[in-house]
Amino acid sequence: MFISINWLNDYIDLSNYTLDEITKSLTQLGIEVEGINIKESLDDKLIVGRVVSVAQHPNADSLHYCKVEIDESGTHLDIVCGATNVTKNMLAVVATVGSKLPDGTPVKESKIRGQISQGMLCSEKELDISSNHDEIIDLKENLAIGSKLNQYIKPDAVLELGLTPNMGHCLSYIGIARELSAFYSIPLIQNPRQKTISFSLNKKVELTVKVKEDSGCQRFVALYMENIKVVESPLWLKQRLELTGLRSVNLIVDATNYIMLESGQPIHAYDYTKLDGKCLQVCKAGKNFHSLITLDDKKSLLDQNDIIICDKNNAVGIAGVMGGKNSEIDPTTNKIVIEVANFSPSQVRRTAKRLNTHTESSHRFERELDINQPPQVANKVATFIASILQSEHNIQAKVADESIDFYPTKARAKRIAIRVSRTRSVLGYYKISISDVINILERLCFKPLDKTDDRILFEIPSWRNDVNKEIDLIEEVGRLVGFDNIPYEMPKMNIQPHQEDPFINFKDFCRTILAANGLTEVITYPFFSKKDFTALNLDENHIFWPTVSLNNALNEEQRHLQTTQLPGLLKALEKNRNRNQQGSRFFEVGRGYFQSNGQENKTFSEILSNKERHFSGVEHINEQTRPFERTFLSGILDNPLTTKGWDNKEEKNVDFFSVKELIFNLFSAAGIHQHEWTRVNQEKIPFLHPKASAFLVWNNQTLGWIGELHPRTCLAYNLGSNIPVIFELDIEAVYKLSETTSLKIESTTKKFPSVSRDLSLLVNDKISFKDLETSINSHPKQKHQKGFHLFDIYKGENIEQGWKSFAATLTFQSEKKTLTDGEIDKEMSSLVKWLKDDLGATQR
Amino acid sequence: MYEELNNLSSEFRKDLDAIKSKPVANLVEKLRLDWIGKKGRISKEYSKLNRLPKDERPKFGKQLNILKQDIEKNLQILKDHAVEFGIEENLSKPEIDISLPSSTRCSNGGIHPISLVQQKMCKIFKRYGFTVYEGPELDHDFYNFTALNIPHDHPSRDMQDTFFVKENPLFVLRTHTSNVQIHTMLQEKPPLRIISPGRVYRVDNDATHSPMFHQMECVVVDKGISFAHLKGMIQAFMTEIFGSNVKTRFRPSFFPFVEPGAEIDIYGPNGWLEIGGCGMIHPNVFESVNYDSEIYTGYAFGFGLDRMAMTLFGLSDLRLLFEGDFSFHSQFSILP
Repeated sequence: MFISINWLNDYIDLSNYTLDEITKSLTQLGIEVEGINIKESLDDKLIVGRVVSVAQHPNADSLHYCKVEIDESGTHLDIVCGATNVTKNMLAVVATVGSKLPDGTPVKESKIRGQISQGMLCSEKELDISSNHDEIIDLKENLAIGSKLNQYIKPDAVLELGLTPNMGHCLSYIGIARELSAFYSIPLIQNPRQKTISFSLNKKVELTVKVKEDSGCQRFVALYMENIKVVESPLWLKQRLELTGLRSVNLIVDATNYIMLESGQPIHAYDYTKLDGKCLQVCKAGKNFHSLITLDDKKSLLDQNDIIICDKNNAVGIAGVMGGKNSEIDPTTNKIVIEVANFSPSQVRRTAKRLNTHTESSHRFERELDINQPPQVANKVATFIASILQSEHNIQAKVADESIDFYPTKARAKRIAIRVSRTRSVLGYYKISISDVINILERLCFKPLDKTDDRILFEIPSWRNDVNKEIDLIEEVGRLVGFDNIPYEMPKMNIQPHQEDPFINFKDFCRTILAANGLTEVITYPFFSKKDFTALNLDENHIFWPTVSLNNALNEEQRHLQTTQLPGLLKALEKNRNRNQQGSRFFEVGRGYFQSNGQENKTFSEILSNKERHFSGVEHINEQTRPFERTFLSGILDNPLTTKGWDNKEEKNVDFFSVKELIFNLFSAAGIHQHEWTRVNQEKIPFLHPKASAFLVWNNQTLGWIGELHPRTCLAYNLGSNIPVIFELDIEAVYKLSETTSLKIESTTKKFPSVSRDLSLLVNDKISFKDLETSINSHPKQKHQKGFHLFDIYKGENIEQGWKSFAATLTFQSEKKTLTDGEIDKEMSSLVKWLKDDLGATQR
Repeated sequence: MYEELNNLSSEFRKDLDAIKSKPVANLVEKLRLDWIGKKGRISKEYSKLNRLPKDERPKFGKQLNILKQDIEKNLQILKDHAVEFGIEENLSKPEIDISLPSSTRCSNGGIHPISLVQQKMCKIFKRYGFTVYEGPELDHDFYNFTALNIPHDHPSRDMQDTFFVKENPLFVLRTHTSNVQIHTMLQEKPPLRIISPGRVYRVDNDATHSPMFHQMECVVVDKGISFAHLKGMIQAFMTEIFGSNVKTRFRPSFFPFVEPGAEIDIYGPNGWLEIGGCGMIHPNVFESVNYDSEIYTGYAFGFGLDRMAMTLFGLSDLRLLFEGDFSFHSQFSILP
């Protein structure tokens, strides 16, 4: 909301306060000043002039050549003017040679198409009053020729205020004035416009008002006026509206807006002659009214529950939102009905939101209005219009003697008690006394009715709909005391910290380990499009297919919530590749989001079978429908793993084992040793390379997957044929595993030395390392052999196709003695024989 | 015969002299084996002892022992020299270029600035007896709005542009981490001190707003908690983060779940900076979690972790936090 300080001074005398003080005071009251626009005083050389003649410019069709009288003695200036509305005898604003316009443009004598122009005639835009640039200002008022314009248009400052939803009572000049009056303890100026003339109509008016009970409308005032004329508003009125961000339309509409800004009460004016049956009815649109063309020329489709105003046959307005075109004030309007109502805030809000039509009016209705003020407001508007018509145009408008006031249930003033003890303990401001509390609240127009030693009963002013409880009164006291005056204190509490979910810490632990292993944490948006899922080779039955989507996504790219963090990482990698960044290594800790309606029984059940992390439930909420969230740790490693360097002659690319090592490091750090790797079923993770990927499994539960990116997915994310390695862990499951794992610690030191022997074996290519490991560990005559370490795998020359060589170092050790060569030779030959029987391996 | 021993002695001296100036450990060992090893020359002399006449043996044996002891003595000295020589030789190797890069691995790892800030703050709050709680990001309207005194059809709903779930419009992407206070209060009895960090979402995307950002909320509930306590805790916290010269300011404002409510400003090089919101927990919130607001009062304050990270690390563009620019991110540390 915009507030002009000049205009505000109509309601409160702020001449003793600087702009800076006013701004600070508003801030302390909880009214945020978001901007200040200073309107400087107009240049002394901008004066009132009278156009004495208008002639066609000889060399330009669209220009006029005018003579303008600029003082009583008849001094004339020759001025070229392009405005369409310049006429003889018009009073205009003359910017004389040497003057400066508000935007700083200097006005010089110039030659325009061969004609001398000794200044210019100003438009509203040039005076920074409005954006109207086509027409020059037509000063209809009775102003002295040659007088300075800055006598009529004063310098000003316009504050842009940010008002929170609880500040409905501040959506007006009077509202702001009341706040400052309480803050400064200075009185308001009562009744700024004296009603000096009577505009009494002295006859009965044919007009009926009906309000249906289910409309939620609590009060409806209609006031009839006749013999009005739809004229342009005077300059000062236009200027005030424009300063406040509203466009001037005509006197009638401007008057309704002006009084709305003054009082906070939205007002609508109908052309009386356009109302069928001379009646106004407030009701639900129901089945009879389907649409209405509103004042903004839009056709609004009505919902049955929208509240409308209709005449005998048609809807003429949408309650609290906007009036209808069919009853609009037009240049011929002579009789009007002024509507001042109190509609249901939630009804207005619902309709305005549905129609996406947020107006000055709906904004105020949503925040609740002062139910006591409609009759006064209606009279103010009528008087305002009639006075201006009389003083500026000598037209005698007439106002109905009484307004129609539908107000079936008179609202009772709210009464709320405040305890001084409670005020002290909530604010922590112990020195406040009962008389301080009374004084502060009285300044805000709260009326004390009754009091005991501690408790005071207040009557709440009708405009303070935000005050409903004791705490609201305490807040008012705190606001006026000033939060800065409340001391800083530390509470004395005896509290045992609650048990914290150790998983929270585990996530930070994972971050530390991955970062220590050379990966960098990123945070990406968890939104995807269907395109991502196609790029991941996922079909619609896949558990990763988007299952939670957003109704109002910012764009299609962000329509769905992620079920894997991979796309975010791939997009980040693409950006880095575009910057020619090599060897990016990222990880992210985030969540996957899944619908819970039975979908977890789909193919990827292993990952998502656990739903134990529940959040508390309230009875009336069906927790069964709650989407569920699972925390993932995901990452991507780009090529190369190591670059060429002075101590490293070969560049090394990332591969499956780069990530396997990483996971191993993480698991060791977490004390987890039980886990297995199994082959990835293509249907389950179709964005992994089928030959170079694995599931990480423990106890039949999938903990995650790692592997090279599928070349097709790689291409789909514009990563070409340079394939990164990716992984994703269900760290909630990993965390649980770490909790159940207990380390087996051998607490004795080995007394006797170990001995190593190398063994080279020729095996069929189908034999995996794991087969070898299993076989060695199941050697029936295993006695002293404790461990083994693979140091070479060889295929190729000297080895038959379909075979390979494994070379390993075996370690032998006894707890009782130093082993002899004979004992080791014996166990070695037994093992070699066993491996031949078990795996068909031969020693090389 | 004794001459032979003399020859041996002088031969040994010759061998000894040959390596004396450069007593490399393995040469010294070879010398030892050659002379007094099992198959060494002295051992051979001992084997000759049997072939001597009986009366010659003691004398020759004695002389042989003397020679052996002499050799052993000399070898021991040489061995000691060899250790010293080895150390000296090692120390005399050419100086390395210590300015050479340490590694050819592509990168150093780091933690995201938001995580770093979050970890740092959690640590501070834990010292003040707070417990960290997390909650769902997709939550029911009740937790995100209604229970927080943000009723349906009320303008306070417009303060936060909300993402709604299409399949179930009662569920939203949480617009603040305040939903966690509701979950927690429904689970725990007062007194409590909780902090809840996490991701939040609003329909907003421009240079200074991101559809996803991070918040941390702190809630204290107990008997006799006041606005002065709220101010005290915030001042203590800000002092830990920004140093003891930090100035805080509290401006009245409105957040539906607190009353009185205020904006928290801190004074920085560019004047006052809005850093978060706070207030006394609204009795309506206590009502929705069945806490007795006559007995208990509480405060809540929250702030954006993204803004905090930007302030602490001197970052100017919010979007940089979510773009995954590797060269940007690898500048950050692991220790908060």
